[in-house]
Amino acid sequence: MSPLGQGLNPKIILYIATCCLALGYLGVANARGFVPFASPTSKYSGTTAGHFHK
Amino acid sequence: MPNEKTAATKSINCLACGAPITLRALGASVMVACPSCGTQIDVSKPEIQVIKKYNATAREFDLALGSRGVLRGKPFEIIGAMVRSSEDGSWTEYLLFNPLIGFRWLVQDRSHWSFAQTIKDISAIKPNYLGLHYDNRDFRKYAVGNAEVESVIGEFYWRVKVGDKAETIDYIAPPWLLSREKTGAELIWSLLVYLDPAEIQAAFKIQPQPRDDVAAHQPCAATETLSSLKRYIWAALGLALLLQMATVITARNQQIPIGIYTPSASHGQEAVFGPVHLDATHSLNELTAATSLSNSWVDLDYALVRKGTGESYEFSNSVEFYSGVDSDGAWSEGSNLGSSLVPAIPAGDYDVVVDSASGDAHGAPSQTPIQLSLTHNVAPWQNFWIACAVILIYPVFLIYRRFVFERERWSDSAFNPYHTKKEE
Repeated sequence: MSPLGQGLNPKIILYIATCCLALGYLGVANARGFVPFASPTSKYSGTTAGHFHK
Repeated sequence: MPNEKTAATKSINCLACGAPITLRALGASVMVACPSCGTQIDVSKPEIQVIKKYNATAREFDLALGSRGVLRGKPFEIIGAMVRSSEDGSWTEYLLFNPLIGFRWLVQDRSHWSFAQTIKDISAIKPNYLGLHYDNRDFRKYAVGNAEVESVIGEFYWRVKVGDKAETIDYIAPPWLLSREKTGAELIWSLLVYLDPAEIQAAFKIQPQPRDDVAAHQPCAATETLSSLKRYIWAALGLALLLQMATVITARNQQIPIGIYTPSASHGQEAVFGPVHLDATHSLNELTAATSLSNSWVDLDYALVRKGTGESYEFSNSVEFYSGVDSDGAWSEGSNLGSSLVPAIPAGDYDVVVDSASGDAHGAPSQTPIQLSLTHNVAPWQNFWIACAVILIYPVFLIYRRFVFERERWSDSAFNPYHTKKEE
């Protein structure tokens, strides 16, 4: 086992890997100008105002 | 153990039943209870004599007198055992002896084990807002009760007998437990530390029962994991914030007016604006539509069409605003401002193609002009919140597990902090 891995239990190693994935996603997505769920849809279908809608 | 002194041992026969008794802490113990009949014999003097005669049936203990094991790095031998009980059930206390260290206790409460030591300097125990403070730990009051000796075998350093009673108070700071015992004018404090079943298995080569409940001072695995993770959680959140700040600082937020669009009567009649120049390599852009609609809606479909290549990036947004008066008074919903985020657009010159569908309460199309503008290279925040959520999912799960564990720990306590008035 590498010195980094010594004394760390698998849960912590898995958690660090998850954090790396999250940070990797943040860095790449921000650099590429990417966001999920970018295009909104109407919020008012089925509401009081819905009868005006097509 | 080459350096370990061997305690003086001596064999005697029970003065009541004649069973052989081995004295393992000769000189340190003052009495022995016969493992066969329970008769108590004074061994503090060379001439042994009966303290009290019993004719009890030998009681089975999980650990036999004379068993040796290494606990917390120190070898001990079991020289005595007694069963005590209170309103909450019974437990076994094994007296351990090592001639170099002295006496310690091994406490077995159902499937839970603790290693205990009598506190000599009780002035170090201070009251505080939670209960007690001792050895840099805050202890919370857990239980008050009365303990009675039910059965006793082997040697002890005081004259213990069946029926001995003590008032007890337990305070906990898992994995530690402070136990206060008052018998008449005598007050004894002990410090117990919870032992993992694996430690008992390794020390005495027995198979402990599986744990089916939570002991008062049993350490919570979720708390321990959370404690180990703390530095990584903060580091990850800090790095995420740094990355986000770098994105915010480098974002251009360049305002580009596109033009005024008037919805057409029929869907499919497109208007073309531009070209607009987007110079950031890959950018997030926000297209905003501002108008002054009243009780009508406009659905806008857009396409950014790249000059030269014809690549098309399509998106849409809606603008709708309604107002009126009903039995509750005036109301309004919606907004005259609509915006869309247009992600991952490569640098280049683009035409903005707009098409729309619209309507009002009577189904007639809207003719209200709409001001279109684009903010080029805005900083996205969704990715930051997604990263934070991913970083925090496991810690939040551990916090929930800790809550469930602590609630179970305190469920048997009269001082349960999770107890609400509603439950009463």
